[in-house]
Amino acid sequence: MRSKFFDFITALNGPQTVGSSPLYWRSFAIVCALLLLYPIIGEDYAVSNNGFLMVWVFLGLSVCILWGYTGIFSFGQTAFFGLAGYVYGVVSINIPPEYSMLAAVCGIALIMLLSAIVGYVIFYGGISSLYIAIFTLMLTLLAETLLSRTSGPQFRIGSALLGGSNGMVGIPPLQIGSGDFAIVFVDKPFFWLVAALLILVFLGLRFLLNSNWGYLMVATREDPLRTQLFGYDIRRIQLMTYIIAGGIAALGGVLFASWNNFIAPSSMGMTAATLPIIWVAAGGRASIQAVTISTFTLQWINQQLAYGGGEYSLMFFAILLLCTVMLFPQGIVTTIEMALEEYLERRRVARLEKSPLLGGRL
Amino acid sequence: MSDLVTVENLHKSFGGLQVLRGMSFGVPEGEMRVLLGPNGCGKSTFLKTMIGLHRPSAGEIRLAGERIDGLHPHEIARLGVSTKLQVPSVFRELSVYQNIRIAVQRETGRDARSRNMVIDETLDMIGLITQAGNRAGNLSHGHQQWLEIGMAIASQPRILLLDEPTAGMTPEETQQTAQIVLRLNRQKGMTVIIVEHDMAFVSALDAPILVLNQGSIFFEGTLRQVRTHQGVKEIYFGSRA
Ligand SMILES: Nc1ncnc2c1ncn2[C@@H]1O[C@H](COP(=O)(O)OP(=O)(O)OP(=O)(O)O)[C@@H](O)[C@H]1O
Ligand SMILES: [Mg+2]
Repeated sequence: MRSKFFDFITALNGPQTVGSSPLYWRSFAIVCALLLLYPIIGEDYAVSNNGFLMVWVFLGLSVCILWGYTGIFSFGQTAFFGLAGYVYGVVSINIPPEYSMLAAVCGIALIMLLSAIVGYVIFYGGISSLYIAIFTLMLTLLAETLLSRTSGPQFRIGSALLGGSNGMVGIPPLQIGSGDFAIVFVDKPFFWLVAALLILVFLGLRFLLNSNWGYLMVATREDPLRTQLFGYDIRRIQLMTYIIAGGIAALGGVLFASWNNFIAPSSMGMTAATLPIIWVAAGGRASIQAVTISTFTLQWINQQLAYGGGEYSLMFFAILLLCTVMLFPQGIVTTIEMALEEYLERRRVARLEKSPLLGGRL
Repeated sequence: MSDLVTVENLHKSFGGLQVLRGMSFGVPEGEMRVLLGPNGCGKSTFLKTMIGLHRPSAGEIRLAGERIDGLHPHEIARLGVSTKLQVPSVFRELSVYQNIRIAVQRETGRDARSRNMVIDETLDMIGLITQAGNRAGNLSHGHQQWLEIGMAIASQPRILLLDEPTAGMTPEETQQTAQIVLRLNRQKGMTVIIVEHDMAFVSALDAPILVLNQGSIFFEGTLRQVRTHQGVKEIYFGSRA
């Protein structure tokens, strides 16, 4: 039993992710525990809002595994995020609330299918990375434009009105069970749901990134030609990663629509497509942990600045991006993490040197 | 017809530039060939065509009787063709250990123990065990070349293609490289095709030589025959002396 657990933890560790020591995993467990306890003591509004801020992390992680780990620069994850919200909205409005989880599954599955189609075209079509960036940006803007044109009663799917640029309203929250036994995921339950999903996705990604597959993602980023010469089909690696990233973005989109009870085309606009790139670049694109921290923090700052008007937050992000590129090319969170790791290592060595048993051997 | 590699009437042009013009030769399984020829005569172009990076304009390349021209690079690699290209390319940001892991994990699958064993063996063979944790981009040029050779041989390929493997190496490193290649060829029976300019290296290999000129194999023989052949002297050594 103990060794099974040990194998499990080992599979989550590796050079592709930060932290592997017992100290790291103890801290990780404490953070998880705090996340699960927080709603009990926190205020309703704050808990709900923090749950909402965590939703963006899924979008950040989606860009992170594509760009940071596999070297695919995609502006399209925002479109998948928004479209998943729309799919969830349309389906959930049309079915009884106790089946809303089914709507969530529909949203994620459809977006993964869409990712597969788009990914197949761009990777098997041999489109170069610059054009992938432009093409995926156009997809995002296309989704925004098309959905903005859907105002009027003729644009309805069942009882769901698409609502044009005003967006779709009346999207029910996620729920399991019905009647007296229902858990509706709003406020505190919503926070628990998001936190649990985030921990699951985070650990799942750690497992993936440190598996053989993760090494291939990194190899494809570093040198696609070399990777092919070792007998790996990089198109397949890119396509599978793209589908997984699409699914993670879609999960975020579903949670977003469910929390907001609303989704609008502006969630797929130019600003919305750019922000994830900044979260990822500023945090540290080759670390899911850095991106998790930076996405939450930056969206919190974004929210604070937005109270004073959108222009401040855009200005802040522009300056942040410049500073990151010039001063912390590996990302701000990653730079801090590396300094912390070095400090801990130095302390460990110092302690070993002092220990009477090992002192002589070092 | 028992050749492992058969090249037949291979042509390759880039736009109007005809580089390979009817190149033909064969290599039996387990043998080694050295491909010589003046700068820019198309040696690298041949290797790249053989591994699927270029599509031949005409002609055929066969591996154990099966045509491989037209296959994707990864498909050719899966048939047991391993390559070290002329321009060194290692995964610079990754450690030496991770570099080799990527090269072998297709063979060793998910079993961590057998994978680590193959990685350690390879590190031992190329003498980089003490550098296993270092970033590959920080290695000296010669060590990067070794790492690349190590990655190419780690998966036990049937055929090893090396494009100027000793470029930038010291004379001792060159001799060590020759020993590694000889061991692979003689003890493990690996078929090897090497492009090389360094004469000390070529003579250490003591293998039959193919001279490429004007897009086709101009002469085949031992190094001594090549050195004394009047025509080869003119096109090759003559141009350098
Ligand atoms: N992708 C390409 N597109 C156009 N021309 C090319 C391409 N690759 C090679 N060439 C040309 O083909 C010719 C042969 O080049 P190649 O690199 O095969 O020569 P080489 O025999 O390997 O020379 P060297 O000894 O310098 O390595 C050269 O004239 C080169 O400019
Ligand atoms: Mg060459």
